[in-house]
Amino acid sequence: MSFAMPTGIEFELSFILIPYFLFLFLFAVFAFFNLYHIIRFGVKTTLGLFSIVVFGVGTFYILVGTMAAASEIDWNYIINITL
Amino acid sequence: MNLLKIKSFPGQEKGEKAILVLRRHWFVFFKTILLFGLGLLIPIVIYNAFPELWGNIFQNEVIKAVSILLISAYYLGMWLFFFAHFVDYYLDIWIVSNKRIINTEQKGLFSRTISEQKLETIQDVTSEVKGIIPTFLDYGDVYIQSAGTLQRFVFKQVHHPNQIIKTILALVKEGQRFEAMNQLKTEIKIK
Repeated sequence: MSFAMPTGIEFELSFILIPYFLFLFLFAVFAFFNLYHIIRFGVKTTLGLFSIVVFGVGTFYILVGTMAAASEIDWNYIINITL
Repeated sequence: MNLLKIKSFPGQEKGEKAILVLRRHWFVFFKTILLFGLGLLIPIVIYNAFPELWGNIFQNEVIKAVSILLISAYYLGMWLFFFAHFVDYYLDIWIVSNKRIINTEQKGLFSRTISEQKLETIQDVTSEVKGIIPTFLDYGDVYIQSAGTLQRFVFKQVHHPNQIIKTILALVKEGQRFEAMNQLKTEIKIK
């Protein structure tokens, strides 16, 4: 029995989305804790409510912008790394 | 001076009214806004500095994809950093009521200190304004020392520190007068 040494690695471009989604997960966790603090411990003021809305809208725009830019990419593109 | 008008606050007692609700001066948070604005501009400045170079680099599908995700992560990170700083600023609050002083400080995401001091225990109130900008914008620290404790209350970087001192001292005096009246009433009843 003989083993052939791999000569390269092939993977789809969509593979690089995994660390990005991991980052999004961490972002969601930290955003949740910040929002929880502001709702749970903050004195009820217009500024508090306004900040929550602004944060939500800002996050939404960044994500929509990312999606718009990412839609131009061919995520099925195969990356070939030769060893 | 009372930057916020609030009807109620967490842990409010019966018959208790918020006289002063204080936060750090807006200029303290303005520094964060400047830093955030600078952070937002960095990718735009880098992109505009070498437009031809980026044009060629972005022809490559992989580099383009990685750049989009990195820029997105950068802006989301910056946005979260800004919001976390705002929360820290927003949750540091000092309430002077007609009965006590409540000090609430957020230290990072998972540490929070709440302490209070009865007005009648206050012995000394001092203020400190240090630096050019604090002098011009009239903000500084207010130190409150109570009887029998080594620990001092500090209102950090608050607007109009001298007016705050006057208000607190007036409340303390009023409280002492009220207490003296009550004592007198009790003594008369006993006699």
